[in-house]
Amino acid sequence: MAQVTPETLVEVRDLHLAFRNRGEPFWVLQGISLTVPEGGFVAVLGPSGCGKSTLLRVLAGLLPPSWGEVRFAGRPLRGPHPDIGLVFQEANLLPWRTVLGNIALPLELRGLPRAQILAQARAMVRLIGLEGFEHTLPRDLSGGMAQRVALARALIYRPRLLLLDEPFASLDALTREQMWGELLRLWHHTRVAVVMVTHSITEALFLADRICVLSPRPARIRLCFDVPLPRPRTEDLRYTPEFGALARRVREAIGAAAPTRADIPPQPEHPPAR
Amino acid sequence: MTLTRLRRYLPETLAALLGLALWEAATRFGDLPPFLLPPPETVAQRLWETVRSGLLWKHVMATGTEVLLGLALGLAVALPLGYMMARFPLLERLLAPYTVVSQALPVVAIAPLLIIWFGPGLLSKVLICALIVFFPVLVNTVVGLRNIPQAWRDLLRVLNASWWQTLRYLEWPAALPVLAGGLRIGATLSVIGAVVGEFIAADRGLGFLINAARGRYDTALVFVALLALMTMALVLYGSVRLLERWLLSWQRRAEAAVHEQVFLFTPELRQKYERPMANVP
Repeated sequence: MAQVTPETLVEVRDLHLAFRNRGEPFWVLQGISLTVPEGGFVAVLGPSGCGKSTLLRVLAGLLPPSWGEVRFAGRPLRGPHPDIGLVFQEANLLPWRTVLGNIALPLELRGLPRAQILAQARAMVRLIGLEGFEHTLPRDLSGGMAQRVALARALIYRPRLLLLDEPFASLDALTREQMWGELLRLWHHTRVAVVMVTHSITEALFLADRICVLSPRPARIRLCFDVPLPRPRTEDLRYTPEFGALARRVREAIGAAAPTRADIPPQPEHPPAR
Repeated sequence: MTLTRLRRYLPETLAALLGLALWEAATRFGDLPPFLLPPPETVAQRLWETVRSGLLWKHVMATGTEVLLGLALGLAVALPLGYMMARFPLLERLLAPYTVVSQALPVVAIAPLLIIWFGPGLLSKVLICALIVFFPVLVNTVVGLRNIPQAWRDLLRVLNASWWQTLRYLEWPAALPVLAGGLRIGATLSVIGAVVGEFIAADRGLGFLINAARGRYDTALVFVALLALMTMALVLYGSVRLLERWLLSWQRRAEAAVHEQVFLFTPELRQKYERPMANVP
């Protein structure tokens, strides 16, 4: 059993997840193990529909593992945790609340005094550069603005772990690249640990310290590696030959690591006793 | 101001005036006895009399009380029950025999039974109204709550919201558009319930007034009661719509339909708007 060092914020060990399908297990995740250091940025890269979102839902405490373990801050994770924030694929803003109201929601649920909520929410609006839009309703926001509000909502209660579920997948390419810079800025500013799920190699390489590649469903980890790119990363980095070569190597590694039929170990029939 | 408003509703105003004119013409040239179709001026005169003597007001108040109390009672039972049913599917199945039967059986047919049990007074009418309001509101509550996107529920769970907070911050506002639809249907049905109850047994109310006037072949009074009923239903419906607009102001603009109308230019207009084009060699 591995020792949880103080720097390790999240430790996922042998995580399996199956949904119940007419009494039979429907496998989504098999034998996922990974760690996230405090303040680190891990990208989980995988094809669409491979179970990346399900992995994030487990990390958020929304789904219990079928077996295996998720430890957060040294303790087993049992349900949603006040130090974990989640940003969804679509911005998922509440349409009847204004920008300010959406950002303030987590603090309102914690019952903080009104003045403090307002002050913090306004500070957050400034941080994401949406001054003047405090009282705008979500339907009048562009995709990029809405996603920035979603980030602000997840960061306002200063979580130690931020889970991002393909947060920029629905944005156009130009806005997406702009949001990468925005996210890195917020990450530097808050020093929150990030686990981001994505299907974009460029996105994963540009943002993360470490990338874990998942196989198609049922998802297993194909390989994990550290990203050998310096920080701070600027837009220019993406146009360097090194970046291109690295992206190509990752692409090839994913292809090479494709398991053949014989590689897939038989699925365990019974969960081991807890 | 008034004139511009009148012009804005010109088609509606014209249609209403046309109906009135047809009515007048039918009584004048149709050779109908007044007990079949009284002329508009007789109805207007009867209306004035009943308003002045306070008779109409008394019956309007009686029906209005039944409608509002019945609506309130129906909502008070259907809303919490719908919430519980949406939350606990087992409860929905346990109650299914009763809810399905109460939907399949016309409430009008149960009304006599309610009057036998609870007497001809206010209580039985309120119960009839409540019963007729109950089902649509219940169904809308369950549907409204069930259709809340999973992602919103996940959001509230990630934020550690209690069930009460989930109700207050998510379920209530998210289900409100559907709930308002149920309220709108319920308000209309409540008026029907009250009148049906009064038809069967009552000593006051607009339904009673219609029944009594019919017995005396006082057709003008029947018309007066119908007018009052219509006004009441419109006021009730209008109040619900106002409440809806106030509660759902956040979705007003999203609701507005986009009308595409191409601007077709006449030659003169075209000259006015056309920008001088640069000469292209």
